[in-house]
Amino acid sequence: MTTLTWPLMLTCTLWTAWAAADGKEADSAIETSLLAGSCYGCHAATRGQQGVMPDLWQLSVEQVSARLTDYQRGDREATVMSRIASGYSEREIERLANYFGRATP
Amino acid sequence: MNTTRRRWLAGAAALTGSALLPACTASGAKSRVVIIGGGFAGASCARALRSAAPEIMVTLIEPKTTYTACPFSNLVLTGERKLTEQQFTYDALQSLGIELIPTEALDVDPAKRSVRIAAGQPIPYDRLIMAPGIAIDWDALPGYNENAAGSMPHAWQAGPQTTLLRDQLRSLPDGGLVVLAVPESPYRCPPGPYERASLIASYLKRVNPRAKILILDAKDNFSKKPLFLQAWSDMYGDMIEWQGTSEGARVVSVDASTRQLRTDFETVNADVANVIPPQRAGLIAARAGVADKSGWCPIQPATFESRLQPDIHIIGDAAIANAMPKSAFAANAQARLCAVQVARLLRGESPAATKLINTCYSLISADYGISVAGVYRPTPDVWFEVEGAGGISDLDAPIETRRLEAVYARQWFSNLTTQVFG
Ligand SMILES: Cc1cc2nc3c(=O)[nH]c(=O)nc-3n(C[C@H](O)[C@H](O)[C@H](O)COP(=O)(O)OP(=O)(O)OC[C@H]3O[C@@H](n4cnc5c(N)ncnc54)[C@H](O)[C@@H]3O)c2cc1C
Repeated sequence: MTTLTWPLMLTCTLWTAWAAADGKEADSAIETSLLAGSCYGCHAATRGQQGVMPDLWQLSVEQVSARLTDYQRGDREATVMSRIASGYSEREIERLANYFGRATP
Repeated sequence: MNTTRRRWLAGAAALTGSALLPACTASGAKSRVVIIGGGFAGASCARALRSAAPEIMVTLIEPKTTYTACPFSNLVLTGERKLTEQQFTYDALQSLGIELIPTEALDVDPAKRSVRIAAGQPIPYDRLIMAPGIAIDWDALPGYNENAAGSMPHAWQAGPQTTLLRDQLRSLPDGGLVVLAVPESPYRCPPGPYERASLIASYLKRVNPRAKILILDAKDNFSKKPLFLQAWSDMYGDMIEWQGTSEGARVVSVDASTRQLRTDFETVNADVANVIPPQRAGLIAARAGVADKSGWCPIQPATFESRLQPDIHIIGDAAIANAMPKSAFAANAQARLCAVQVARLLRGESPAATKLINTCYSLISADYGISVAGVYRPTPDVWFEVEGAGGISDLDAPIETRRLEAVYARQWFSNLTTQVFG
């Protein structure tokens, strides 16, 4: 095995990964879509699916932003969303709001 | 020549610094990603790769034609769900253009970038994603081997083991004793044993109300402990007794012929014994050289790349994802992220960074649910839990909240299985 050469690769991959993470909340579109992707653990990934979890694609920019902020502050009745919203920065909430709120039907 | 073949022929030479260059896709030839294991991690990743990068050829190696899901399998024990309701096929994945090779991966050659299978040529890859789930560590608990599991089921890989445990519970003598042996962390589904004890109690309360459930735990703390203890005493009185390792409850050996469990402190005679044994990454991980001494696979957090072998990523239960638990929820989240990272790496782009979420629901009864959630961030070393977020359901929440969490739990399972297999 090439155990001698590959730590170099690791270092390089690691470096780029960390460089991206270190830009704290890098702004690229891909990262916004990844951020939104973490919602799909519960919420539908596509518009118009039925279910008891709210359809994020139906919400406006203002609604997503207000709800997440209210969850964070404990101003909105929640089961799990207050615990989750608290993990996101203001900037990340804004990006999520724009992502879902501005998605074209 | 396609990239796979070219890189493959280049062999070890390709593993020098030059492999860092995006050359592998520059020709426009199709790259090939091979995925080992079609569970929540592997199947989800195959799908996500398909939509993130249609230019990549995706091959899934999985020997079972139907996948049997563990989440909600505790409801098979109570009779609410049939085992067939836990089962899913790979038809939808195949119709999306994912190549399915219905066989077991026997070995991986990281230098040649190929996977050996029982029949046929080794399968070459540009990047390999390993999602083999867990293997029971048959050497870890004296007296517990594959034979013993035939009378003291673990039911920690859903399937015949689940129905065996269900049937044993059905023929539990009146007022009989059910013992659950729970291992140290890490293991698949941290709150799973306690959900199981709860749902067994909900069943026995109906059909065998004098029965007892004893949990012998190799730990003193467990996921959602205050919520479980509260709900147990509210709903099941003294039917469930939990003992931690400080009380000497760690199971040190078992005797399947007598259904006895020996702890640090005493010997317990069970009528039904559900032994959840220590686990490690699916066996192929050790063979490929991606598992460490712990039995699990160390990874680079952001990309899930192995720390031990090049061009291999590990996701799901097999991976060491630090603060992220071994759950189907986490497996799916990791899979989606890993798919994007692998596509980017193959295009010569740098990996993207993001946070991930986990939420694990547990049912205490059919309509009483609790949850634990977390938000996670990758550092260069670990998946780290974001402080000030996450945690367990409110201890003082009204019963309506518990009912709602049970509804959400069910919806979560239905969304997940539709997303991954539907
Ligand atoms: C009782 C119980 C309840 C649970 N409840 C929940 C819950 O409520 N919520 C939750 O999020 N999680 C829950 N879990 C955890 C969840 O089941 C696991 O975390 C999840 O299955 C992990 O997915 P995976 O893809 O990593 O592994 P698996 O689902 O085990 O899939 C691994 C796949 O790899 C295949 N494989 C293995 N070796 C090879 C090989 N050599 N070649 C080819 N294929 C191979 C296997 O056949 C299998 O299909 C529960 C688990 C249990 C036991």
